[in-house]
Amino acid sequence: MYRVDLTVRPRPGVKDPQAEAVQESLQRLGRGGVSVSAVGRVLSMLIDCDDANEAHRITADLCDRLLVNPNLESYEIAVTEES
Amino acid sequence: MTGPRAAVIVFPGSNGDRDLLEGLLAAGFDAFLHPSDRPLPDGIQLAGLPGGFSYGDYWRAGMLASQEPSVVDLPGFVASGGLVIGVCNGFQILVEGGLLPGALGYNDPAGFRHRWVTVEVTDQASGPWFSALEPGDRMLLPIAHAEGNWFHPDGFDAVADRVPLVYEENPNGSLGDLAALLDDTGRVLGIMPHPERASHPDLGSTDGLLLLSGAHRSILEGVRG
Repeated sequence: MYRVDLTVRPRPGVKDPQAEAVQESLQRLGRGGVSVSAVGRVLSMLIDCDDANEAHRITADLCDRLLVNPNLESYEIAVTEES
Repeated sequence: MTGPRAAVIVFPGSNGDRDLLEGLLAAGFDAFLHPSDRPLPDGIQLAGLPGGFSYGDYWRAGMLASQEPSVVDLPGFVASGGLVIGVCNGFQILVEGGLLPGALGYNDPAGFRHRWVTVEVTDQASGPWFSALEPGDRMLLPIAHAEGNWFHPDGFDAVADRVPLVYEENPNGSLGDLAALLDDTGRVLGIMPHPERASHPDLGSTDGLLLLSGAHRSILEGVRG
């Protein structure tokens, strides 16, 4: 069993109003030097398969078919083996 | 009713389904509501995807609805000559389902925008949806959306030959002022403003009825994209 954490975020250059809104709120806290570059989403799931490569491959396939719109978003996959 | 049959697909979270139903009825369709978790009904000539917040816009607006049986059936329906309109969230569902290209991102400037806008009919407006309109015509239609910013990594040129409506004053940052988009057949129309909410004098405009009644007339005359 493998745990997959999928992170999806807006591609650079794509409008990201959530990042802009969070940036404005952080600025109100008075701590300078912090710049929000993107606000994305995380999907955590367990995949029953033989090895980490397969878990990665399955997840990438799900991203291509549904979970990610490549016109707007990019993604990263982190796989860990569940004990 | 004896007009062409039109199914308005109702998703969990739709809130414009009744509006689209009323608009289609006003245009002369024998229109009815149909739940999204069932296959498309037999014997329809038009399928309408209404505005709203299908599945609460979870993960990405329109994505979850794009997997519903009624939406999965749409490519076959279009191939057999059926007409499809997706309004607002319905447009997002058509894009997420791969029936129309690109993506609909957050408005730029950010925020939910709801107001009347003027759109212009372009030279590319052809086929059954635009049989009652001419290039250069202007339509007064309402918008109500936060994610209507159409985007394509290849730019506006990727679809320039099938953009039938453009905003006179762009409210959302959409590439090329795109307000609506046709597929290759001309039978699938995604539109961010709400024609069904401009289909009766009491609503402030009847311009949207021209789209719906044009589709009605085209079906009766057997016009195909």
